[in-house]
Amino acid sequence: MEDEQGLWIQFLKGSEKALADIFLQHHDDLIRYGLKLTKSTPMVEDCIQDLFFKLWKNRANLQVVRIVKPYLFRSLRNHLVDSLELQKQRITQDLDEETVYHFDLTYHAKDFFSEDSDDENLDRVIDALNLLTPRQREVVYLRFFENLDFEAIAKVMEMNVQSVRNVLHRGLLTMRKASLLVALLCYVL
Amino acid sequence: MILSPCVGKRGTTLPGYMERGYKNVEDFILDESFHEYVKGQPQASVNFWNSWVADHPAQETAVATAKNMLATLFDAQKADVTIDKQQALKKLMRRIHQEEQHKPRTLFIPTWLKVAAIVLVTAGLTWLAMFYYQQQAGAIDSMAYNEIIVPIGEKSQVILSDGTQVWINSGSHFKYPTQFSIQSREVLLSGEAFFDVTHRQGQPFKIFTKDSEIKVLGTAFNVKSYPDEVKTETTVLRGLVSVQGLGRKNPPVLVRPKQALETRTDSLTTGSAVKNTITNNVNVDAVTNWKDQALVFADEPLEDMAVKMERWFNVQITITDDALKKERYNGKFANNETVYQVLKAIKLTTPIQYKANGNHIIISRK
Repeated sequence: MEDEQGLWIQFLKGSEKALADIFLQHHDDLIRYGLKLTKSTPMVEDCIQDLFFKLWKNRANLQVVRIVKPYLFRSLRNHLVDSLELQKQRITQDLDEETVYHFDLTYHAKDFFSEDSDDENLDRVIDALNLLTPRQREVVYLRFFENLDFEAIAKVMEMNVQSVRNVLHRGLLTMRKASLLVALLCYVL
Repeated sequence: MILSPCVGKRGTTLPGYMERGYKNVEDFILDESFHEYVKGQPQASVNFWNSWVADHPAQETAVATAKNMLATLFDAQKADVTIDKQQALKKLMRRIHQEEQHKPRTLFIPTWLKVAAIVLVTAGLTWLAMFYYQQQAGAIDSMAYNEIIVPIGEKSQVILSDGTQVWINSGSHFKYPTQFSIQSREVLLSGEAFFDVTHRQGQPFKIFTKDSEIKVLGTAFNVKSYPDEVKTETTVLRGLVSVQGLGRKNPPVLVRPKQALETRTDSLTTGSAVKNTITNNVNVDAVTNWKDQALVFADEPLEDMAVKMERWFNVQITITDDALKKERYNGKFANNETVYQVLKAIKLTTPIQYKANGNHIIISRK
């Protein structure tokens, strides 16, 4: 990924073209990822704007990164968590941690697949994904849909690599134990 | 002992499979080089796994399962993003340029010009306001409504012009405009319905019931407000809903996921003394299951169950014993099960007897 690093360096040096390229390259993936963390499209859009605005403003203090995507994902995640916290404080005081995580930071299994594929087995695949905890689903999403490796996922979710492996392992095990893997296989065949 | 090739991402050497002792489907799925094998490149990984499989016929099934599972996950299409990224980029660039050029400048404006400007702005606003109100009055007059009346024992589903989905439960009445106005989306409900509201910035969705106004942005929730019950129940699956009692100046109450709000109005005609009760950690599934054609009881007293069953089966139920009315049950019944199957299920745990007189069922203690 020489290009990616080169582009990042151009951006750090103050190239607006490089900033635009990075923005356009990652915009859709960031929107998709953000919408897995909260259902509010305006909030995700705002956070992405803020994120790039701050990157530009602070470019003098930023470091050279080898792969940009995990870095952007983690930043967006932090921005969103902050916004959600802020919103939570503004609206109510009596909200428990669990409600927030289950709602706002939940991966909706349905979103994993495009809506027009209406295979009947799809429901069973969705059932399988729904068995996972939000954290497991996030790892599955980042690993298989965004194709991030364990090291990158660890960066995004601020966990260590071994924990990421463990979370994914447990998730896969849950799905298999419920024999829903069979459903996944039917879906493929 | 066979050495594994150097095929991991960014040149990391993979540990030999012998030490790992791969046996389970998950072991393979977690291995990065196995992903490369499924994707068919680079060739080194493909060769490595081909020979590994040949050497380990016992693991054939596990490998096949892992391969299929990975292929499914890789194949899953990404949802389309509808936001215009070029527009988003323009917005970002505007913000960056604004920031960089932002140097406060003071302009000298003569007093007469300031006065003239104020007069002009005021006149303009008045004209605009008049124009706006005329428009609005026209819009309400020309609004065409659809009405759905769902008979007892039946259910209905409708998709509104903005894409919002509504499931309407038996014995309910639902009224909505064929086309929503620009400012807001307003519907009327008497009875029970589940809403999955399409998010629209600046165009809130409002549901009016006999006693409340429920305002939402984009969210899924259940509203139960039958005319024969002095309460409205709002249960939220996801999103955020604001419920405000009609009539007096009642403050709006926010309802969040897994919460249920019960609004009680002492007198429907005066709309006075609204009592709000929020319940946390509600089993939303049990509340909204009716839309999936299943009759669900979640730790409910028999008298409440009777009301549900009356609507579901289109029967009349009388319970003769007061203690019996308070007995609580859990249960889930499919769409094709009869009222007698429900009653039989109750009979398994409680000594009851029932007799039917046409549509009228009388339940008593044995």
